Amino acid sequence: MRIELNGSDQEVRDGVSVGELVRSLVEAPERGVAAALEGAVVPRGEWDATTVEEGQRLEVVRAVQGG
Amino acid sequence: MTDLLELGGRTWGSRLILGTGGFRSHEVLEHALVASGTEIVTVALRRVDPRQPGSVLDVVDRLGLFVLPNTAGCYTARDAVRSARLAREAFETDWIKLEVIGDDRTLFPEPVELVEAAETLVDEGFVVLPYTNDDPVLARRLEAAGCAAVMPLGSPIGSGMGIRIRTTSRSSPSRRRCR
Repeated sequence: MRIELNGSDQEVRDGVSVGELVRSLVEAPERGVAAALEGAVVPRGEWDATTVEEGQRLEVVRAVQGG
Repeated sequence: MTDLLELGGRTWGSRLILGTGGFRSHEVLEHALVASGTEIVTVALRRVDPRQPGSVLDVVDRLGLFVLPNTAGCYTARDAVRSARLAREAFETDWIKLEVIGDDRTLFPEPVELVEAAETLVDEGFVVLPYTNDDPVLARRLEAAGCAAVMPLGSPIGSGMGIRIRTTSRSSPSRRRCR
């Protein structure tokens, strides 16, 4: 199925979790990483239990220099 | 240090809050943080770039400094609120340096969106520190909204002009009150 991951269209397997997708971008998602599915923050403790559906938009952010 | 700063229900020995933008490396940033004596460091959130190794948090955490996340890069109240919520999850802190930009050349704040975002975030329990203009009327609005303090610009961001707003900032009724 296709989803939008950090602004780009991506092919992912059905039933993929937020946690799997976060770890595909950040090897060890330590403090300073957060995820939002369809604009709503997914708490870290719910990453693995939250499934991403076809066409949904997932954003994964991390701390950077700035501001 | 006897001139302590009370802010957000805590006491700080340094009045300097340092930004992290513009440093060419983490090593240079670390030297600057140590030299400044600051206790509070502000960092931004951006979409993950897997090609970018290391994290600014490696430096900040190693030095034991307090992380003040910011909403840099947001142009609307909606985006700023969303960014603040992500920051709360990422850093496990309710503190937020609220930035809502109104002009991408000067980086001046967008005051209407700023107040709207501040009201929402205060309602959600954030300790809100808005980056704002040197406008005492706006400062009062932000104070009334429940912001812990206001952070008026000293001069346009990145201009290197030093502090150019002494007159108006001194007239602000909020200049000495922090919560």
